[in-house]
Amino acid sequence: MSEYLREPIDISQPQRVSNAYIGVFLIRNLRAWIIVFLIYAAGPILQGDNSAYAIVPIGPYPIRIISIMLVAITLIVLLTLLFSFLSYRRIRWQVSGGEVHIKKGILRRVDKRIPIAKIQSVDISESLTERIFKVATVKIDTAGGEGDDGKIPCIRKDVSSYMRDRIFAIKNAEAEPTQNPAPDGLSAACSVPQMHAQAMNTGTAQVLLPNVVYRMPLKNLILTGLSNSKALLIALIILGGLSQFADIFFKTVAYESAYTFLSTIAIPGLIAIVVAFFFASWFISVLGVLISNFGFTVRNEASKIEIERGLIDHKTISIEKNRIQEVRISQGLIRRIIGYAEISVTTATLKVQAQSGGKGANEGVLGLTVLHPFISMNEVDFFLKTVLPDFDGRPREFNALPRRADFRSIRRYVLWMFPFVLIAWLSISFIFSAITGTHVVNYVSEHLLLIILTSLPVLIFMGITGHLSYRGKGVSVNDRFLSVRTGAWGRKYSFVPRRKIQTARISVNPFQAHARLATLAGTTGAHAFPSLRDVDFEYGAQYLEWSVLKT
Amino acid sequence: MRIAPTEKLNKRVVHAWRFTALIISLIVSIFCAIPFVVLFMLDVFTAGYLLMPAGLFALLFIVFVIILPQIRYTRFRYYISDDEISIKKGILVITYTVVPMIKIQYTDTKHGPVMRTLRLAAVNIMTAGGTVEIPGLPFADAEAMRDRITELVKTVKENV
Repeated sequence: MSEYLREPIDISQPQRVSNAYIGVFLIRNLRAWIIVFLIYAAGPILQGDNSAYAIVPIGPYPIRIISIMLVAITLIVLLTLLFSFLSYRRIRWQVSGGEVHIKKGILRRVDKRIPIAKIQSVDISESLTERIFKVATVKIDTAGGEGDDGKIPCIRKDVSSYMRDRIFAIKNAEAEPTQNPAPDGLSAACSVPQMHAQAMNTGTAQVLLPNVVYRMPLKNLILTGLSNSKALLIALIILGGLSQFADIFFKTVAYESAYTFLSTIAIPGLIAIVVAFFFASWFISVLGVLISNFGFTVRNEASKIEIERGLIDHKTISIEKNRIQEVRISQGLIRRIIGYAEISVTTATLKVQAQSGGKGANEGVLGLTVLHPFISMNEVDFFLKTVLPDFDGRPREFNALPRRADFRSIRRYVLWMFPFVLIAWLSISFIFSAITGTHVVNYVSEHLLLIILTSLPVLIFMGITGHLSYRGKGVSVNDRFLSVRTGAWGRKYSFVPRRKIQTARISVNPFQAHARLATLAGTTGAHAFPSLRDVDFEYGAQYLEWSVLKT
Repeated sequence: MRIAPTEKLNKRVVHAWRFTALIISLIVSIFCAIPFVVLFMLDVFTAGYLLMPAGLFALLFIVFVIILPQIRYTRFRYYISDDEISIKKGILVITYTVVPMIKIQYTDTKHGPVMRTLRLAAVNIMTAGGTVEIPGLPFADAEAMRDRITELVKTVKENV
């Protein structure tokens, strides 16, 4: 896993980051400066307005601009260089005494000690600039959420993976003190082969040996991008937009031959722009998926899962298995048709510290991590069994929601869409009544049939979606798991082990009370929960009973 | 028991809620009244316009000070059994919460200035998934409850 260190280092002593930091910092900040600079420079240059450069008294116009630019650029580079050098000199890190100690900052000084026992993940990422200099950023995350303070930028790549291995070795040693006596001597410089030997001696060989479960082939990567559900959404929007514009187009042609100019040139042009815009954003979304998932690799280790991905920003994410709260298997419509899914997990980010002061709850953000972006439904079980054996044995059969929830679901979807249809038609009416010079009320009454005929399909579509959403919902429990299925066109299967459920909750709003329905919810350490609207109230009550059953 | 907890809060908690709601209503009304008063002093508005912020205060007073605390008190029920704590609460949306004893990490009592004047305290029950609160118990009861929960948690965890 860890590359061999180029030279032995003793990370229990304070370490500086790589001197590449100066370069990385410089480039990163100059990039921002250049954009600002171009914006300021472009205006006067494009307008031929040289009044902005009047402070340079001599020479013709181009020379003034060039001299100002040169002075400005030199100043900016020098200042940035000074700052990057000062900030480079401030950064120190070390791993010793069961802590990671980070000191950094010029103006806002950070002096951070992170107990290794509390570290939840150590992520190594390389931005494009960092890759040029062959360095990486190490991000240490605890349950409390360290933010940027837990980041150490520009560490040599071999040192970064060595550091991560050391942290997890110490953490594992702390977790199993009986098997593995605290390796105080180990914290001194040692190379990777020694660490492997150490791990094997104590019977935790798998902790450090790589075990690649999945490496994504190029074909699947491209399929992942193309079957991205955003692509479908955008295609639908294009279709919807086209149909709306086609209506207006034909309407205008039929109605006002005087506006042939508008209908023959402006409207096709508008359609072209809209189509181009949506195709561009679709292309960007596909490209984004391709870039961020490039080289997706999952490694399975005894107590954690490691994921590597990314073309430009190479990311390494490690997840501790016992912190996983919920597993989600989700499919958009396209992926559902071709029988593929994405597996993601939520991990605990919220931790309550028992302090006498009472300022306890330290809330983190919702942590959702993709374990596998594109997996055949047939392989899901095998994958989960291999990677997360604790999550094997979820219930397969789902209880449908009561029939009276169906109507509520349809009504909710239709009512949700109604204002959008209304606003769309109102704005179209106002624009075209202004163009044709009719009063808006007359315009609406003349086109009432058209308005109804175009709005109805949209509302019917939403109604069908509401019904499908009702059909897609299902819930079941067995002795170990709560399992929830949702989705109108796509499908999402979430399951939570009962021992991870911290509080179980059902809530009933007045409408639900009337229909004897309830919303099933709860909390886990991850602050995300597969809640489900409109289950039978009795089922909800049983769920509460189930949550406190003794195993 | 899980969907019909029996215990009620102390009646005095309604006064505390009313007092807090009164303060908030006053602050909101005063802020809303500022532009009206300014415009009145600039002779843009007649005195009649000043009735609008007054009316707002009256509305807030009736809804948040008179009606809601009473409903909130009536609806709130809790029950502590050996294995779990169940709570039923809410004004429009009724929520039933169940906290298994083994999930409880620790409990504490707290009381703000208003609650303290009325000699009331809230018991906070912390789990890894957030905090559940039982507000408005007399000091002694709150402390007894906290100790009892701690004791129950200990027993349950030993059994598991």
